[in-house]
Amino acid sequence: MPGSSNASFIPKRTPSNKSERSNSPRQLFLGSLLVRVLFFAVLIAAAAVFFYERHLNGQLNEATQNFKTATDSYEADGEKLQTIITTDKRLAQANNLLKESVSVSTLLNALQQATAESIQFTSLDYSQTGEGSLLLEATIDTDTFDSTMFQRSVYGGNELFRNTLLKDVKVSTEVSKIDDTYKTKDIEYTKDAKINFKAIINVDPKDVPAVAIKEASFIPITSVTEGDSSSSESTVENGGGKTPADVSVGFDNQGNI
Amino acid sequence: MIGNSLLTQVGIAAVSIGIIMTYIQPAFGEIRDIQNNISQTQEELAKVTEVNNRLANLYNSVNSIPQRDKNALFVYLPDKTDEVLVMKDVTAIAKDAEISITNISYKGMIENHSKALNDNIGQPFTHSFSVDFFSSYEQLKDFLQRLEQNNYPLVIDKMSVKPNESGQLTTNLTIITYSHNE
Repeated sequence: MPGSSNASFIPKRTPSNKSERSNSPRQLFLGSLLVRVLFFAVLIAAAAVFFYERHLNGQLNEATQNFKTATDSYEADGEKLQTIITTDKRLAQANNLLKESVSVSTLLNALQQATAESIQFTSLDYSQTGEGSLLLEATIDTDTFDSTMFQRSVYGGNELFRNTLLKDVKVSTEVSKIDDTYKTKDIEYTKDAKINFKAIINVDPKDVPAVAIKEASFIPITSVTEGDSSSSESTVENGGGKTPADVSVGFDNQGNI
Repeated sequence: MIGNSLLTQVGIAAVSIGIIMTYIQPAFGEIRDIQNNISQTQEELAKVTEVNNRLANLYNSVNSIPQRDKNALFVYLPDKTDEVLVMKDVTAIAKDAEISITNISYKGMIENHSKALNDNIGQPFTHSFSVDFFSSYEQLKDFLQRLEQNNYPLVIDKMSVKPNESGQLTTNLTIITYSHNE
C-alpha cells in the first residue's frame, strides 16, 4: 500500500525535513560564549596551578633535603670545628703573649748605657705594673750634685727613660772621713759626702720587645746584644743611641750594678 | 554538551567562580608561601654551604701547619704546666749562666695577670715561680737573656737586685709562665 501513508491528514516528517532542522544555525550569545571560555579557562588554570604547586613542593623538598644534608655535614664536622677553635685560641693566646713580651736584659743594657760612671746603684727593683708599663725603682748613690743633675739630664734626654722621676735626694757624710776634710764652715762634699736618691723609671713595654717572629717560627731572637749597637731589631737601641756621644757612661761591673 | 539555557550558563559561571574562590586563589597563596620557603631555604643552604667551605678551608689551614711549628706552639703554650719541669729548666738555665740558685719554688696560679684582657680568646693560665740566687751583674744579664731565649715563656714579672757585702748581687726573681686556657 504505497499511498496509504499519504492518506493521513497529519503531515508526516520527511527525511529531507529532518536534515533541514538539524542543519539550521544555532543561536550563540556572547554571554554564553564568555561563560564557556571562563569555565574552560578556570579548568585549565586549576590544572596548571595543581601541577605547578606539585612542582614547587618537589623543589621545596629537594631544597630542604639539601639543607638537611649540609647541616648534617656541619654537625658531623664538630670535631674539626673544635680542632679549629682550639688551635685558633691557642695561637691567639700565644700571639698575645708574644706581643706583651718584654726583654729585661735589653732594659738592663739600655740602663747601663744611659748611666754615668759616677753613678752607683745600691738597689734595683723591676716590676710589671697593672697598667701595662714597666716600673724600675732604683736607689742610687753618687758623690756630687753635678753628677746627680747630669744623670737626670741623661735620663731625660733618653727616649726610653724619658719618664724618670728622681726623688728623696739625701746628702750624708761618712763619719770616718770627717777628720780629714770636714771643715766647719765650708763643707766639701766632693770626697766625704754621699748623695743618695731614688729614680722611678716608667718604661713602655713596646720599647723593649723580647722576641721577633720570622716566618711563623717560634724561635726567639734576641733583639739587642751588648756591643752590637748597630742592630735594628729593637727600639731600645734607638733610645740608647740618642744618648749624647760625648757623655761618658758606663757601669761598675765589680759587684755593683 | 553544555546546555544553552540561562540556568545552565549561570550554573557554569557559578562553578567557575567557585573553583576560583575555593581552589585557585588559595593555591596562589600557597604557591607564594612555597616560593618564599624555597627562597629562604636556598639562602640558608648557601650560608651553611659557605660555613662548611670555610670550615673545610680552616681545617686544611690547621692541617697545613708544619708539625714542627705545631710542636713549638704546644711547647710554647702547653695544655698543662708541669711545675717540676719548669723548675728543672730554670735551674739548668741558671747553671748554663754559671749561677747557683739558692731557692726556687712554685707559687701557684695567678688569676687575671695579663694586662690586655680579651674575652674572645680568653686568658692563658699564669703560673708563678720564685727564684733567689747570687751572681755578678754580667751573670745576671746572661741569665735573663737565656730565660728570654727559652722555647716557652719565662717572663720576669718582678725582680729585686741588691749588692751584698761580698760584692755579689742578691737577686730575687718572680718568673711566670703560661698554660693554654680552653
